[in-house]
Amino acid sequence: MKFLVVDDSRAMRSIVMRTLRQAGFENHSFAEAQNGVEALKIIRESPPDLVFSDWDMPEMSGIELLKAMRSEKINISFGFVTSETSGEMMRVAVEAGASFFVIKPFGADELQRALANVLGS
Amino acid sequence: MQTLQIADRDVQSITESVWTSILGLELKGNAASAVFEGPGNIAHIQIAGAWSGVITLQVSDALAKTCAKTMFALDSVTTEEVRDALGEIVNIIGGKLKCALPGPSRLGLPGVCRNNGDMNWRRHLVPVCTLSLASGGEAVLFQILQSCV
Repeated sequence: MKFLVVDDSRAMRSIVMRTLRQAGFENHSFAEAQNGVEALKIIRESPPDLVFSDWDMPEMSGIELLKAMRSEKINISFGFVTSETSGEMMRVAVEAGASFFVIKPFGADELQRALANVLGS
Repeated sequence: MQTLQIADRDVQSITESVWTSILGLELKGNAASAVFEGPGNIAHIQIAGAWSGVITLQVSDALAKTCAKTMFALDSVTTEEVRDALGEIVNIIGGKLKCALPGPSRLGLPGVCRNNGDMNWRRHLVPVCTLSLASGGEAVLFQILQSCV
């Protein structure tokens, strides 16, 4: 399985990938992008199986990325990794096609739970 | 604009929880005022909306490097990695606090600057919450500054 981790913080991308490995995905592959524009380019050229994205990013935000993907009929599973958890945000995200939320800060257990719902295991 | 409606103890609880979860370090309240040797670093993030202001986190150079080394899982870190790490910490704290503050509001993007003593950037901001904290023997100053314009 290939994961794409999208966050303008390199530290947070590092934490997401490290925690995914700790959660049992150590033999899977990872790609990184620092904003939605970079992510969309990667998704078009070499589609991942699952996208983890921050919400607020320069250039193109996470929700803009998700909407752009869906408008291009790209139906890859997409989840937000964010510190903000308002009901309005979640409503907007789910309406746009988000599959899951992971709330920062998080550990391997939280990632496992989020992925279990998406992967059906 | 609405005023801050969150107790200092709740702000401290959120800050401690984020700090400990990300860094695995204790962050405890300290009766004394935070004292820094050298300029140190100020991580900041803006909230704008029903409540508007800036959240700041000030740490020493040594503690800033410890934060970055932990977050990147590296033995040595660059200045850019230190800025990235501190920015992400204040971003996460800001996201948590935004949900506890009067809304609707929008969280800005984080920034990190050196504390060179220039207070000009604070001229339209009033401190409404100041927490003098300590982690690993180093001072941590956390502030919520409310916009007064």
